[in-house]
Amino acid sequence: MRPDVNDRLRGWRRRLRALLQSRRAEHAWSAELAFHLDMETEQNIRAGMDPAAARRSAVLAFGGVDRFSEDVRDVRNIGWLEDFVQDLRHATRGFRRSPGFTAAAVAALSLGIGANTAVFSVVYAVVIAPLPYAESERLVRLWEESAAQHVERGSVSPGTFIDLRARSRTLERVALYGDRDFLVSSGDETWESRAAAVSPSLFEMLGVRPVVGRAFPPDDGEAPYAGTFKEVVIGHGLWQRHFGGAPDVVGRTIRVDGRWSYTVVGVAPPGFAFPAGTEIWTPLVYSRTVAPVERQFRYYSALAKVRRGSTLEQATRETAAITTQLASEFPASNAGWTVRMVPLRESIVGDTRPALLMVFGLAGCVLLVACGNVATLAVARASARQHETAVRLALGAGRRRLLRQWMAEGLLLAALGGVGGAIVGYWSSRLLLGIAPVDIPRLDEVAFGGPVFIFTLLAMCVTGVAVGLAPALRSRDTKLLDAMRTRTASGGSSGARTRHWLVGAQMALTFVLTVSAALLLRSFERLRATDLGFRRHDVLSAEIRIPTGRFSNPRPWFQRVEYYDRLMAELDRLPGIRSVAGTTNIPLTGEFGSGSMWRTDAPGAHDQRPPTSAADQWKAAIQIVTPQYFETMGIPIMRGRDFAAADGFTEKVLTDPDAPRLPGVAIINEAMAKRFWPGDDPLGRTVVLFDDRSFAASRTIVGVVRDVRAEAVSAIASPTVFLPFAQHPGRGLSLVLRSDVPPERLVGVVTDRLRAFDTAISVSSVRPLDAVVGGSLSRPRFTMLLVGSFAALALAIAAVGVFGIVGFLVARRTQEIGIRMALGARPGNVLWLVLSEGLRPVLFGVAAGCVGAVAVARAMQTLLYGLAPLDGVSFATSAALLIVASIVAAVVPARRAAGVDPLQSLRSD
Amino acid sequence: MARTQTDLLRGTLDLLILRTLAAAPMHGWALSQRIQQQSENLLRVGQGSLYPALQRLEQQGWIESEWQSTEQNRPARYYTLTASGRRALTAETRSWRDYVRAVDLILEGT
Repeated sequence: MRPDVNDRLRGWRRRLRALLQSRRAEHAWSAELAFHLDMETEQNIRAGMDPAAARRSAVLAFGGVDRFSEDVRDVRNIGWLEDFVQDLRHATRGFRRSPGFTAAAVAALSLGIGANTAVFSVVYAVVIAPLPYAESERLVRLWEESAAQHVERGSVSPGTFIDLRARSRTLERVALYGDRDFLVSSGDETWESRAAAVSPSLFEMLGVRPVVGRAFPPDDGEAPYAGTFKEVVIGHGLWQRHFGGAPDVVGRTIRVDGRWSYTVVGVAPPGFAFPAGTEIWTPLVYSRTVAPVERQFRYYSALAKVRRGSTLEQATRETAAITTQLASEFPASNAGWTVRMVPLRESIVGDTRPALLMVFGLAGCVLLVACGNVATLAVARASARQHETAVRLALGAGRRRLLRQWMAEGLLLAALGGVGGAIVGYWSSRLLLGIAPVDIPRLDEVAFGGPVFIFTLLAMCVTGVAVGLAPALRSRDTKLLDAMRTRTASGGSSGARTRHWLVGAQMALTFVLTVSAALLLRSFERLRATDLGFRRHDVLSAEIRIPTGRFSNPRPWFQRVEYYDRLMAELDRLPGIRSVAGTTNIPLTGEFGSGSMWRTDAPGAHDQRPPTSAADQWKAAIQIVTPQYFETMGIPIMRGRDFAAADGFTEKVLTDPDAPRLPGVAIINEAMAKRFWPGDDPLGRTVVLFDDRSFAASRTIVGVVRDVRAEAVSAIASPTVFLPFAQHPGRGLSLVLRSDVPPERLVGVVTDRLRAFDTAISVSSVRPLDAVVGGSLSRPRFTMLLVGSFAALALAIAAVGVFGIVGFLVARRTQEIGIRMALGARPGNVLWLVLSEGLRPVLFGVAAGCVGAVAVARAMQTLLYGLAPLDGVSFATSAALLIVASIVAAVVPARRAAGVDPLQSLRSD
Repeated sequence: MARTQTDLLRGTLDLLILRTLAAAPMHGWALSQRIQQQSENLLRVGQGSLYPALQRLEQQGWIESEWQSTEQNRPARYYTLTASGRRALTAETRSWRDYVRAVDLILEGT
């Protein structure tokens, strides 16, 4: 027979009401009791007793008014709920009595919960939160790949795009996009903006509607495109910054690169920036057919939406079938090429996730150490209160009731720690964002919102239970009589055992953290010490942009060569500058452009036409430099020669695009020589570069330079071909300057001179090359700093734990120590006795931590550079660090033990 | 062993309270008198268990209480059976009968 749901609900309401109105209920009960006794008394009087006896008899018949009042209360009260409130009150009183313990515990928990909250806020925004696009789980990134050409996750050709769009049934939509920087002018203002050319249907695909105006009309490639090509959608931020949020921005004209006019048709909603950082979108339209050359030219990014009801596997399978068709239909461009499909979110955060999750896991370790520490303190307190516990048990308090009381204390501590943790977490989250490397995606989405609070709350509850459970479990086996017999504030052996276990566990976790930190630190040191292949000191880099409009028709190329010559000559005259050179890419500042090339004698290659076989087309990074680049950067020329002033084209070639193209020169790096001319001399060979055909008929290789780490410090060089700027002035240059003085002193002078030379130059950054290298290492530095601070935090907390237990040990055994010393033990013996006992759990902890550290080190292998995960030095130094820290923490109380005066200690108690 | 006995007694007291209140609403003292009379003085309901039982039954929603005046115009707490209390009484009565019959069968069978 169980009460039904309604009854239960009513019961609950009654209980709650009872809790809120317990005073009134108490009052009602007194009235009821009085009424009962009165009735009983009256009956007794009617039966012939005198009033006084009648009253006494009534009370006797009732039997112990107080006891039954208690029973009634027990039933009436909400049971555990009111008990809990009582327990909390009791706990609060207890904490007020021991402010030291409370402060230490709350501080440890605040730091632990705070660290986790901060890291979780980042993990949530970057890894867990869905992308801010409609049905984002159906969005996939597409890449073209070719094993034969060593291309992984390569760009997509318009040809592949139109065929996928036309043939795929599993993909609902496919879109292409490519980004570039625009120099935008509107009115008197000129600024630089990241722009992207995108398939018109991209907006609809992402479920984005402009807040003002319209997006581009959707385009399926079948009907002619309904829009015009010279229109743009602008970002919300740009609209606010440069147009003051004017609603009549639609229809206004902006000029791009001083040459082309675009009409604004719409404003994107706030926060929308796809691809990342984009502020201006232009339409990128392909109809059903493309020229054959658009099949070979792979230079776009591609995005697709999987049709509802289709799975990623189905889409992948169908796409593979389509690429097989394309390979047989268009062998010259598509043989050996496949399409890889990856969920969009994965493609954005995929390479950040392992590091973030590792950091998150290690933050969890810090919280565990904090929990262990507070539990240790709580167990010590419980031991000190063993007498009290035993008395309460003897007086009939249920063990369950006692357990609840411990839990209430744990939860109260955790609640205080949770509040502190939310505050610490909020500030450290902001601190984290301040030092986070800019290349972590989605950092701008980090917010201190609902999910983060839920996490904090959850961490708090788990912490509370963990902290409350330890002393509760310990007091489970309190032996009543034993505990009652000793009045001293000592713990039984079980208390000591629990504490040792807890300290051991803290040490084990701390060891995992310190080993992780040591591995990351050593890995970072290796990164710092890596031979980059170029001179990083005494070189200043200047990333600049010059409006294309500066070099107007009819001779833009010629003017550009001439312009940079003058600019570099001007800078060269500055005092302290030894040499100046230009380059399209400053190493370690971003991705390199790459292009296709082939040998002139490859089968089918003829007069700038690509060879018939796709396997004869090579892919290489392309960097355009001026003479003296290699000298300025300190890159040794291994064979052949540097570019010279004579490596240029005539004014006619650079002015008239229809003039016959002439042969030019190129320098390659060792990686390229090794890949394409293995065991052969590349000097004197000739190649054609696809992107270079409007400048040179072919290129003769005149030199081989040493490999440099240009893409990332940890990445070995890709095959790279260098072209002289004077023979390929298609893009603007940034500058590198070798100086005789420390380069940071020249930053201001160089910036001023650039501005003085031409006010239209937009200077993005002038900084020493060493700072560029440092900036490229910001991600590993960030990880190292985070994990390092976690380790330091855990170590500090754990050391306090050791200090605590040794201190406790000494306090408990003062008498014993006194007896030992009275019997002739020297202070040294006592010191050793206490230290050895206090440090035993530390050693066990380190040994156990080794096992965990091996597992964690293996898991973080991908984050390590030039270091085996089982690095002996990291393990040994961590172990030594922990042991030394523990000894230091233990020596203070241990010395107190050694200083015990036997007489004093025996007299005390 | 001791535990089943308490449960048994408690269950019995609940049943008696429900049965008695099914006849008419009454206050605690009348209830104790009534049970005693009805059982021909065989059962004495200890007040110490009566009031906690009333609290419990009220929390279960089987009875309700209200302050009313007695015939002598004194305020007293009157207990009334609720609809779900009535259902509970039927069910409890049936299970009590089953229980008694089962015990009888065993007692007489040997």
